[in-house]
Amino acid sequence: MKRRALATAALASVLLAGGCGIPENVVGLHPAPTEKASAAVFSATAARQVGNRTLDVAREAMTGNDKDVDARKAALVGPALRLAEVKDKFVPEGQTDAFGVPPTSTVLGVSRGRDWPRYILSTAQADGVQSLYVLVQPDAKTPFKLQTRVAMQAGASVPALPGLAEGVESVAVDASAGLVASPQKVLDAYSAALAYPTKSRTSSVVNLDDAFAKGILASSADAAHALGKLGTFKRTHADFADDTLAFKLADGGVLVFAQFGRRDLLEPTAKAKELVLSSTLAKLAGRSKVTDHVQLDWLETLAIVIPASGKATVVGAGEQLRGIDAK
Amino acid sequence: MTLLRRLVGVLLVLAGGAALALGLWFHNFLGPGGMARFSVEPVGSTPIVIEPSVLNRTSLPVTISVTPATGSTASIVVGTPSDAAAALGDTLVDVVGPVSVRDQTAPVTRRGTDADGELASVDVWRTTKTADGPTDISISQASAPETVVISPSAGGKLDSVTLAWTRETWARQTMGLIVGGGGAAVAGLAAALWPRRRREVTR
Repeated sequence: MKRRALATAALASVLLAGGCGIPENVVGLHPAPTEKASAAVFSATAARQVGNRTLDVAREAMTGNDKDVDARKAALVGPALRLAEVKDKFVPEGQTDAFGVPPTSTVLGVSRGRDWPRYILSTAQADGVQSLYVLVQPDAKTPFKLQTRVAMQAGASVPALPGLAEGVESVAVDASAGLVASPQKVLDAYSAALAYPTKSRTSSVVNLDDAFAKGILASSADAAHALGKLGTFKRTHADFADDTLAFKLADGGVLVFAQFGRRDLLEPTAKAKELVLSSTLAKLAGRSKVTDHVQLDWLETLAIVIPASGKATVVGAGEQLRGIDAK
Repeated sequence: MTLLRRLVGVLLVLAGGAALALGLWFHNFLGPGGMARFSVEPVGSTPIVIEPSVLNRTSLPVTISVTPATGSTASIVVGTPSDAAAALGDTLVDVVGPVSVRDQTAPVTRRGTDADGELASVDVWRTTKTADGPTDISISQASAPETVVISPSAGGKLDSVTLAWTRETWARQTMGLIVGGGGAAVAGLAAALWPRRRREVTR
C-alpha cells in the first residue's frame, strides 16, 4: 500500500508540476488591452520629446538670415510661418529673436483622442518674456510643426488646461456653448473695436483694457491726431480664419490662438497734397514723401482666454510689420 | 494486485518519462533563468511589425533584440496601435504572428503593398531608436497596447530579430517537470519490475 501511495504521489507531482501545461496558466496569457480613445495622444514624456524636437527644428529654421524657405516650411506652418517669412528689413535690429524659440520648454497640454490634427501646447521663457507655443501635426505621416508663437502680456495668466494624461479638447471656432461668445465672435468683436475709425470702443464680449488693445487704440488716436486735416487714417483687421485654434480649458473656458492681418492706411487730403514719411518709414518704403497713400501691413498674433463666465481677455499678443506700400 | 501494480508502474514510467523529456526540452529552451526566446523568421529588407496580439498578451516585459546586417542601420519605433496603423498605411511590412514554441520562432505574415516609407521620422512614436549594431529594447506592459516597428535603413537589411520573455517561475516549473517526471519514472519502474514479496509467493 505504501508503494502504491508513493506511486500515486509521484503521479500527482507529475501532474502538478508538468500538468500546468495549459499555456494560459503557465504563461499568464490574456487578451491584449484595448486603446483608450479618450486619453491624451501622448504620454507626458513622449509629448516633451516631440515638443522639444519640434521646437528645436523650428529654432534651426528661424535662426539666421538665410531665409531657407524649404527648411521653414518643413518646420513651421500658419501664423508662425507667416511671421518667419517677414523680410529682414522689417525686423528691427536686435529683435530678430522675436521669432526665436528658447531652448527649453514646458508642455502644457496635448490633444485628446486618436484623430488628427493633433496639437501640443507648450510654454517657454526667454529674456523675461513668457511665450505660448502651439505645435500641430496635420496627419499621421507629417511631423509636428510650430503653428503659433505668441508672447504673453505682462501680468497675464492662462487658466489651467486639463491634465497631460487627460488631453486637451479642440473647440470649434463657432462653438459658443457655455461661453459669453464663440471664439470667432470674440475675434470679430476685438478687431471691430480696434479698427479706426470705429463705431464703438467697447465690447460686451471682450475686454479692451489689455496692454495690446490700449496700445493699438492709442496709436490710432495719435496717428489721426498727427495727421489732423492733412490726411486720413484708417485701420482695419482681418483674421486668418483657417489658422484660428481653440482649446478647452480645465474650468470650461477656452484658450484661443489667432492671427490678424492689420492694415494701416494713411492718405493725404487734397489740402496736404503730400505726406512726409518718418525716416524709419522712408527707409522701409524707399521714398520720403507720398502723394497718394502709405499702407502698412502688420501681423497681429493673439492668445485669448474666453472664461466660463464673463468677458474674454487677451493674454498674449504681438505685432510685426510685414509690408509697406507707398505712392 | 500484482498486475494492477505493474500496470500503474508502466503508466508512471510513461507519464514520468514524458514529463522528464518535456522538462529537459524546456530546460534546454528556457535555460536556468527562464527566458523564452523566439526568433522572428524570416527577416530581411522588409520592416517588421510586432502588434499587441504578440507584445501585450502577458504581464511580462518583452525584450526585442535587433541586429542589422553589416553596413545597415535599424530603426525601432514604438507607438500606439492606431497611430502605428495610420503611420504605416499600406506600407509593405512583415507582421509577427503567434510564436511557435516547438520551433522557437515567431513566423511573419506579409501585409501591404507600398515598399516606400520613412517611418522613423513621423511624430507618432513614443520611442524611436536607431542602431548600426546589435541592440535591445524592452517593452513594458505599463503603456500597453503598443506596436513596435523595426525597419532597416534604405537599401539595408535586418540580420535577426528576436523576442524574449523571462520568468523565473518557468525555470522552476521546468525543474519540477524534470524532478517530478524523473521521480515518477523511477517509482513506476520500481513498481513494474520489483519482484513479488516472499509472503505473496508462499501464500
